[in-house]
Amino acid sequence: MQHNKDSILNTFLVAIGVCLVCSFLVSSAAVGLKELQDKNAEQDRKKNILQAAGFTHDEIQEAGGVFDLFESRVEPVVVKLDSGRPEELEALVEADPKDKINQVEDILDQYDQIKASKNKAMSDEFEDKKVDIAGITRKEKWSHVYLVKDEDDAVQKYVFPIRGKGLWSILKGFIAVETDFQTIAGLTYYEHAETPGLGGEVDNVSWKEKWKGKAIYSDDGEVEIEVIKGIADAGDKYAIDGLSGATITSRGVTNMLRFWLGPEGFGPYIQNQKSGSKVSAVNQAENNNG
Amino acid sequence: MAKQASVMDLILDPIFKKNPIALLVLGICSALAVTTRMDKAITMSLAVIFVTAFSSAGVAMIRNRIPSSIRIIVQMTIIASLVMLVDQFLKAFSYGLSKELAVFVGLIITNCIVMGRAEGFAMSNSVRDSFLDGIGNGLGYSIILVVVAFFRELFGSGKLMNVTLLEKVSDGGWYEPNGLMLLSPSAFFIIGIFIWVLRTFYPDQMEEA
Repeated sequence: MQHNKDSILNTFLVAIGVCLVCSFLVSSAAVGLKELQDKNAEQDRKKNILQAAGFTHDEIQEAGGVFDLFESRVEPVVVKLDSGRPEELEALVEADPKDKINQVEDILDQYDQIKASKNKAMSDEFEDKKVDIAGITRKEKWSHVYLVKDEDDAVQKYVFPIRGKGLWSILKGFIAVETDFQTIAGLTYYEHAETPGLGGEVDNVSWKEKWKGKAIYSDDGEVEIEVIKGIADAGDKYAIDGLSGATITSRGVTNMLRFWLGPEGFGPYIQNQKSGSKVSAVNQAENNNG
Repeated sequence: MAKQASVMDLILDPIFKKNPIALLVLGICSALAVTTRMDKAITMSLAVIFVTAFSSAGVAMIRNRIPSSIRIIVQMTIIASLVMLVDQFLKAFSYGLSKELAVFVGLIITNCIVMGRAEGFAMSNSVRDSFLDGIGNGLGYSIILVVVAFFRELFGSGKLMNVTLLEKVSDGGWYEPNGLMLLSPSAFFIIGIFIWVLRTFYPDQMEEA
């Protein structure tokens, strides 16, 4: 045995043997644990939605955990991005390639907009690359929106999924806005691979705290909020402190907000909601008069 | 035939007498990165103990068959597979921590301690000895990580295992946290002091000036 272990045949045998055993181990672990991992990822995503909307860790625990609180206080909807309405959902069912979504009722649970953005039938390429300031290459046609309600079922906050390019990775997160669609309620990222300690500080609790109460739109309706370089003036409601040593990540955060809150992103949806709430306010006033 | 080393020697020697970080100064990278909190350091330690123990055992098991021309690749394959296993388990059972440790779990593959024990010990020793040696060296790495994390978490954020011990000024307490402790250089200082103390007790570890 000893004398021929360096033979070419043995080299191949050992290499193949080791590879087979190792790949069997790794793949069986990956397959066997997939369900648990998916559930964890789902829980983490929902937790981030809740945290963006301002629920603290303790509040989530008290309410019986992420899934229960999400179930009782969050109403997810899927909207067509270009029209800003929950429509053409049959077309979504039609376009779904893996047949996971068989009927409109499945959409809320099963629709994965990040996968959809890689699918030709469910997303659009940018005709003008300059529009793609978030650096996402393709934009999905439909998106989730999460309506966070208070105990009396009145909408308190809207949570929008956002994503965009930082330095190394696409950052994926959520932005929560108040019902005036002007005040930011919170921002969280649930997935990114920015440099720990620099760009990775988007996870920093005290930095995220700075977003609360900042304003989004200028008077002429442009997205004005910006992560600036250095420290923001205390009175400046459109500026957030920059992350030191992370210019490109900071710029990425600004750009993805400009994109997703602007006309290419949730702009149409926000316009609809605003005019909708005005209409209902008018109706109410008329009813009162009558 | 070399005499059979005792179980105790194999496990305990690498903790103080032949500590892989303090004496060989291996594995410093992750010792800086994951020691801002105790829970992170302990998880990382367990992962490294598991990987060193089983990779050493695995390499020792087939050491007489591994052709020398591809031995490093074979060791790497075994180590990498074990690290991926650990990563999968962490993602399934401790998602929050696995997100925070992020890339550093994957980087156990390049941790010199694991590779060093596989090449330097397991290639020429029995499965049992290699396994115990792996545990010992993993523990040696762990003790430094835990000690460093203890000081960094306590003085950096006033907590241990996420339980507040020193109330921070920003939370209405009296303790002004030492921000340096949360930055990587502080780990160098603590490891340096650890080595100093260790070499005072074991003068033979001192290098010739």
